[in-house]
Parts: sequence; C-alpha cells; structure tokens
Amino acid sequence: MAHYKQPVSVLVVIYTAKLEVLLLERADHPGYWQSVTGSCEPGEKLRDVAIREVMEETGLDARCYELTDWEKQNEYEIYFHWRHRYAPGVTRNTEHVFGLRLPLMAEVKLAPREHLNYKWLPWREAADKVFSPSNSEAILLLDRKIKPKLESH
Amino acid sequence: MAKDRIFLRTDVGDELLKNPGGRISGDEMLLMAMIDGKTGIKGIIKKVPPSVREKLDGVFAHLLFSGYIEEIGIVATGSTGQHKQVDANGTGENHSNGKDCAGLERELEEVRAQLEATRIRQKEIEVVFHKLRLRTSAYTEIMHAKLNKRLKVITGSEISGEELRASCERELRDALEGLQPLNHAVAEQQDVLDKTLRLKVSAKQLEKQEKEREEESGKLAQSHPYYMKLRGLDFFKGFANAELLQFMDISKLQKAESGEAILNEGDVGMPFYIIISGSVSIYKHDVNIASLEQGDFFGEFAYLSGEEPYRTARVVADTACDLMMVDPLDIEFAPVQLRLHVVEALLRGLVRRSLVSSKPLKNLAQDGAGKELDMTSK
Repeated sequence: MAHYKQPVSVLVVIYTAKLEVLLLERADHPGYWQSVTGSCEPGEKLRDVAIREVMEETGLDARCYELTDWEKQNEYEIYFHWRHRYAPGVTRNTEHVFGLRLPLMAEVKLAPREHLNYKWLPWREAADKVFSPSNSEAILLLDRKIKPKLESH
Repeated sequence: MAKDRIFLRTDVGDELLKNPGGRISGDEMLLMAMIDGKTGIKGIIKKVPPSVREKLDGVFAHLLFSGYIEEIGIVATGSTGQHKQVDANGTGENHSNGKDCAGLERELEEVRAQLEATRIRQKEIEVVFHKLRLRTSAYTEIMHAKLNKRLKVITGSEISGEELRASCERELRDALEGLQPLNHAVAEQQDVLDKTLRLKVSAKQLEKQEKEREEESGKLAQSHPYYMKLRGLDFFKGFANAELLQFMDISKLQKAESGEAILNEGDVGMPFYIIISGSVSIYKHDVNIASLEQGDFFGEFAYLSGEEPYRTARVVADTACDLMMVDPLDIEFAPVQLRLHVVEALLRGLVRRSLVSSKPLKNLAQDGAGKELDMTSK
C-alpha cells in the first residue's frame, strides 16, 4: 500500500431547506446507507476534504452552496476489516461533521465504484436508514441547526 | 428481791474470745460472750438453750478455774427486771438512781447483748472461713503435687505449682486472645460459604436457563424452512442452534438461476456467499478454475484479503442455487462468539483448500474429485 489512510475524516450531511437528506448506498456493502464521508489526505484542510469528497461522491460543487463546519467530532472504533488501510496500531478514527445546505433536491452523479444508489429522505427517516450511529446522530442535529434559521426567514 | 451473781471476763478471757484457737468449746465460747459484768447468772440462764442450761454450772466452774472469768459481785433482781448492781471492788457507780437512768441502762444492755451476739457470730464465721481456707489450700497443694507428678512423668522435669499456675493462666489468656480472631475467621468463612452457596445456586439457575434457551432455539430453528439444510452443512458444524439462528438473521437469502452470473470480476463488494443448494463455477479471465457446491463458500477474498473490495473472479451458477449472502459489516455487529465462529468456519474451509492444493499432482490425479481442486473467487 502506497500510504496509510489518516484516522481523521469528514462526514458531510447534505440537506435541503425542507430538511430532506441525501443518502448514498455503499458499493462494498450493499444495503448500507450513509452520508458523504472521506478521509483526510496528508496536509489537507478539513473544509477542503469536505469539498473534495462531496465532488467525488456526488458531483456537486460544495463551494456553490452553504457549507458549514458543525464543530462536532465523533470518535469511533474503525471496523476491523477496514483497519488494514490505516497505520499499524491505529484503531480509532475522528470524524468532523459538516453540513451542506442545498436550496432543492439535486441530481447526483455517483462514483460507480463507491456507491450503488442514492436517495433523498426526510431527515428523521434518513437518520433511521443510515447504519452508523454517529451518522444518525449528525442527521438528528439538523433539527437544532436549522430550525432557528427557518423561523427567522 | 432475789440475789444474782455477776461475772466479768478477765483479760485472758477477752483474748481467748478474740482468738479461740480451739482451746475452749462452743458452749464455753457462748457463755464467755454473754458475760458482760452486768447480767447475772439468772439472766444468762434465760438466754441460753436448754441443752446448755443443764451443764451451766460445770461450764462456769471451768471458766473460773481457767481464769477466763471472775466473779465481781452480787446483784439484787426485782420483778420489774431492774438490776441493782453492787460494786464489789468499790470502784463502780450506782446506776439505779432514777427511772430514766434505769431505762437507758436496760437499752444499753440489750444493745450490748446484741453486739456481743454479733461478735460471736462473726467469730464463728471467721472460724469456718479459716477452716475452708485451710482445706482449699490443702486441696490446691494436693492438686499441684498431682499435676507436678504427672508433668514430671511427661516432661521429665520439675515445675513448681506457681510456675504451673502462671503458665496455665498464660495459656488461658493466650487461648482467649486467640479465640477472637478465630471467631472472626469463622464468621468470614461462614460468609464466604454463604456466598459460594448463593453463587452455586445462581450458576445452576443460569445453566438451566441456558439449556432452556438452547432447547427453545432448537425448536424455533427446526421450524425454519432452511434450518435442516443449514444444520447439515459443514460450515455450521460447530454452531449452537442459537448461533445458527443468529447467523440466519444477519445473512440474506439469495436465489440464482442456472447460468446466472452471481459475481463479476472487477465488481465492488465485500459480502461472501455460502451455497445452501446447487453448484457454481469460478472463472478467472474466462478460465474455469474451480467448481463449488453445497456447503462451500465464495466471495470471501474481498473480505479477508485486506485489498480493495473488488471481485477477483466471476462466479456463475451451474444449477439453480440457494445462497446465503453475508456482509462482513453484519459480522462486525454480531456478538463476539458468533463472529469468532464464522471466522473460524471460513478459516477451516480455507485451510482445507490449501491442503488440497498443496497435494502432489500425482495424488490429485488419483483422487480425481473435481471438488478437491476447488479454488474460490480468488
């Protein structure tokens, strides 16, 4: 392996003003749905990782929308069968949560070797659908993150 | 008015009364105590028991003869019981001058008599006490002597009574002191025993529950349409009924028709498959490298290789197939025990294959069984 994956990643919750959330189905684990995720490359800034991963996985340009660092970090145990991609002894990953707000549901261009399908789901349903607990928790934050904004408009 | 003789104890008599030492009899002691220099013989006679009255003369004679008492005069006694004392020595005083004085005199006499009686009783008690002490010390001496004799026999050395008693006391004290921690220890031991008993009881209950659960799983499992088929497969040999049920829960049933491609080389995917029924062929670059059938598994390479999760071979159904698709993520979420057993089953299958593939070609030709040449999706 050329280089090890960094145990630092981003999770980008892509959502609309109506609180519909975009989910992607993993190609390596069919039936498992999640938000956009990706690991940091060495020296890369978290925001740039978020922009890059959104582009790679959905074809959307995050710079054209409202990308917010929710300043929430999740630390979790890396699944055993994925650990070989990390440096020896690395077992935990820190995930930084971002939110990307779109005005409306958009057409998505999937990365064929990474995802099989995509879906827009109401936020609560989306929180139920994802397999990762930290992903679910992040989607449920939408309520608090967005409500005040909706009311002020 | 009658006359009465009055006696008084001499110094010798007083001394004797204080310290009898067995020199006079009990009756003599009694009389001695009653002689006070005021009460006459008649008064004394009234107070002593009849048995003593009879020998009173003899007793008086002996006391006088021995010099314990002396006669001091004669008194006139009236019907009122008043005593008129005549001082024989001329030194006494007349106390019968008035009624008050006589009453006081009488009272005084009574008090004196009581005091004397008390003194006598005290003496008696002292005598008894002295005797008892003597007997006790004699007994102790005897016992010590006996113990010494026995100890001498046992140890061959002489130990004095004092030493023995001291050592016994020491031993007793030590024993008492030693008893306290012993009591604590016993209490603790009892506590431990109680706890052990409780643990044993709960262990028994758990065992029973486990057994019931296993039996229940067995019944439940047998009602499942694929259960009997799966139970017979090599892959699940070591699985408990409950584990097999859990495994059925996390895996997905998939059917393939004859000729259908189940996996394509270069596809992304990590799940592996167990063949419940039917058979499949493995192709690498369109070359058939293996055939697999019921109980075999394929597609595990993407999971176990540690490489990117790409399929490295094409798998085509030779017949209609029933398959179990298992995602490694579900294995990760499963209870550790089940996860371990799944991985062991995979490992066992892989080892068997590696043994077969390392057999000399000659043997392989003799075996002739296509299944033994099996390679999976690799």
